[in-house]
Amino acid sequence: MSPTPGNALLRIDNLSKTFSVGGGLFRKPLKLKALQDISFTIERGETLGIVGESGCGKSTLGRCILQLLRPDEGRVLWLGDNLLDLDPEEMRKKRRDLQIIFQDPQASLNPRMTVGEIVADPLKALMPELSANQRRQRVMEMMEAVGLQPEMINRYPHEFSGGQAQRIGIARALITEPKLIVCDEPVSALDVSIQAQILNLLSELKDQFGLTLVFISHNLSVVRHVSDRILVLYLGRMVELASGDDLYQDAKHPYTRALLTAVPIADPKRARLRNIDALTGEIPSPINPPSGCAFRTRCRYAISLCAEKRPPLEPAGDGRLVACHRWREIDDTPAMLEAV
Amino acid sequence: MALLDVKDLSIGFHMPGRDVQVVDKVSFSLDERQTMAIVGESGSGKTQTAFSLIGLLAGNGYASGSVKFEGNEILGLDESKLNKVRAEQIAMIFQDPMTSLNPYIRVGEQLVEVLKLHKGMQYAAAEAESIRMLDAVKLPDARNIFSRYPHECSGGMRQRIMIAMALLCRPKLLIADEPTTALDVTVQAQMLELFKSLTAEFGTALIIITHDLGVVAGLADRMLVMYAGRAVETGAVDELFYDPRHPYTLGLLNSTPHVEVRANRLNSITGSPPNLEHLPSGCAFHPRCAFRFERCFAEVPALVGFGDGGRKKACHYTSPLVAEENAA
Repeated sequence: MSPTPGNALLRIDNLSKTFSVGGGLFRKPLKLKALQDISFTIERGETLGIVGESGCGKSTLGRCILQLLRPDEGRVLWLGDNLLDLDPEEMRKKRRDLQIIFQDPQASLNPRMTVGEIVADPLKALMPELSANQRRQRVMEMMEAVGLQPEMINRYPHEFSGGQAQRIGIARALITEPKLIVCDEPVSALDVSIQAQILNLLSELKDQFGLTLVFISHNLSVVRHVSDRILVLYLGRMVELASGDDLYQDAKHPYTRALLTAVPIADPKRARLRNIDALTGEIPSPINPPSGCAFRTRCRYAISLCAEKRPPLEPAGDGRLVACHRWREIDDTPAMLEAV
Repeated sequence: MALLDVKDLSIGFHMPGRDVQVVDKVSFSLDERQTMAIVGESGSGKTQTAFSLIGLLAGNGYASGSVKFEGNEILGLDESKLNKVRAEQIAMIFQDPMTSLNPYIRVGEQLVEVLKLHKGMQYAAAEAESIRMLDAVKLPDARNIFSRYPHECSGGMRQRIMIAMALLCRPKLLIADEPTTALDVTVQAQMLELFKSLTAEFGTALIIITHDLGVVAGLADRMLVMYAGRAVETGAVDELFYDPRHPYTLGLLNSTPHVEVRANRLNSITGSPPNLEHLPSGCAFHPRCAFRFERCFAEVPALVGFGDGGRKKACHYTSPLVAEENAA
């Protein structure tokens, strides 16, 4: 199912989330601004990729969407309802529609429960009207759909490989027939050959069940493979949002460009030809981010304005958004990717 | 003469009530200044192969076969002789830079100790040399880093410190076990560039262990693909990437998503890697292989050379792989 424009399933408005870290009896805790002023929409049927390096806030964002973490500011509009306004019982009813797949398949499955119990668990909690027989029927169907033999229903998680364990996690997420699934690094812990199987499975299931996916990963190749649109985060802020093709062919933000050139290319001749324009330095601490544009300390285009004023997120045509003071000038210079 | 010549290396572990073989008769060689990648998925034996080269197997592990470094057998050397080989001739960098440095000792002391022990240097000379090396791995303000504790350095800095430490005694061979896996992609790119420039500058041969074919393509001259403890294909990187002859190598290449193109489906390999305690009969890859035939069920294929350029593969199937795949 391809995305339907103007058919927003989820809208995030000015979302911010701050954590308190450290601190003690006589010491004030420090403020870590994990997410600041995040706004975007997710159309029904699309896959939105969220990429960024460690500490950029991508997992926090996934958890804020699902209300597993409560944002400090902003709104999470699910089909028009602000999830932050709902009381716990109302939110519980919405959980049928909003599910998650975690990174570490083994760690996210209760070792004392059988596969059948694990997959049936959301049904018990969220759809108590089903009888035990109906539940069992659904579990078997779902196991089949994710490529597990239904006969395995009474086995325990430790009897499964990482790839199979992730299939169990996917079955558990799908069993309540959700509309949206947040996939938080779902293939990062898997071997390459298994990773490909799970990516293929996710795209099949998306079509089969008409799902909308939020796909969070640090791996740009993987995100590129699955996403219709991609949101790039840096130190808790949006730096660019564009369709996958636009982003990869013509990234506007210097950080996005640098990220793309940093991805290793699995093609020796082109890898050798490539002019790696590696970013210098590392990500600054989110506790004490640089003034103005957070990326300016590593940006080759930074000017004094970048330290003084934070760049606003601006439309850059074709529904793209960019937060950079100089994206228009940079856009005219030859793309670094041409060397690829 | 090859710098490193590994013949029929087998590795096993004593487990309660049984022995588990994790590497089965792996052979390869490496010339001076060459970079070789050992590629495989978890459980392929790539890390244990590297660990055994410098006697770092766990206490219940044992290795057999032959590992010759500059013509001298180093497999099974006693600890004191191995300690001379380690650092001075072969150095190793581990995956996790967070846990490889002693958190209680300043970075500089840890570097100086290596030079005092292995080169018999006085403190002042060792300090100067250490700072020079921190500089060489492109750490800004090397003198400042010298007096820091590891926790005061970022992940990327710590990995650079590990590289500096490994190169202090100017080893002829550096073994790096997944050195960039724990790093962010922009830092990974810096690190791969650093490996390239340092191996050229110091004339060091490099064995890099990785599951990432992107890393292999950008860095290595030769590669060895391992599956279930066995070498399945080896040769020059370009030949294996553009003309893979083992179905597993082909499968790995097809499973890798590319950043530039969005394909609809990845041609993944079906099934999962086998349990090393219950390997399939014959070729261990046959349950997942699209090209298997009767012989594959019964007979373990030997790693046999073909063509020129030292290419080898362990596969009974002899026709080209790609045509068959399209037909299937």
